[in-house]
Amino acid sequence: MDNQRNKNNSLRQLKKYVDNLDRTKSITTRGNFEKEWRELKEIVEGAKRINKEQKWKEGNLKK
Amino acid sequence: MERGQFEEIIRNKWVVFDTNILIKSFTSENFEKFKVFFDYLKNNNCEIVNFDLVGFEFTRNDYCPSDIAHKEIFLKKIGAILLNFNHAPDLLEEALEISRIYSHKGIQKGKISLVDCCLGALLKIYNKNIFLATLNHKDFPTILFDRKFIFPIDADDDIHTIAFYRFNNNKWATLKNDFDKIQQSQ
Repeated sequence: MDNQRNKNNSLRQLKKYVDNLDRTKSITTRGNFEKEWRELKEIVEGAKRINKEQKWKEGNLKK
Repeated sequence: MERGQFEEIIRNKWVVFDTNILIKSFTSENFEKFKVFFDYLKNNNCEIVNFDLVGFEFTRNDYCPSDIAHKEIFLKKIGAILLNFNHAPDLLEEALEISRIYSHKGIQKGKISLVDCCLGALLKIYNKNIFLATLNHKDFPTILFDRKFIFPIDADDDIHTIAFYRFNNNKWATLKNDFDKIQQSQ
């Protein structure tokens, strides 16, 4: 339960963070490319991890 | 077109991604492989712009809130301004015109895609500033678009060939002229 709450909180924080980025520029022009690329990688890997967990949960629900 | 020559015209321009690039790069297997492509855009000071309908295609198969959230964050982090129908009120009208030309020329026969026609219309409206990057070359025929440059990515699962397309006003004028003649003769 706590784990789920932490994930939701970090997603909410991420959303808040991207909403505050300079939206007139893209990752290629904002000037922090390497840092932003690493953050992007975490997002992609986070999505994969959560996707796996979700499928596992759904699989268990069907049993 | 030679790399150096292309870089002279792409520098400081906008690049809109087709959905297939987002889908391919949004996988942990391919993500790092696509860095060379993003590096290339960065080195040429290109602005990646998001397009509403591409965003729709990118997230339409998801239902899990965290999947959707991750993809939305990914999109927002990558691209600048979100182009939509408010930025180009004639977009649908232009897209419909493109679809007529496709139909006339037998392109995407029976499967003309709304999103591809809208992307084509976007390239037409912002012709001077915008390029499309896509992995799907059949959807953007060279009878209408110029394939300016091919950027290969050697990934584990495949060799991905990204091409940069630009709308060609002269080609459009010729196609439109042919089409109008048919209309007038009916």
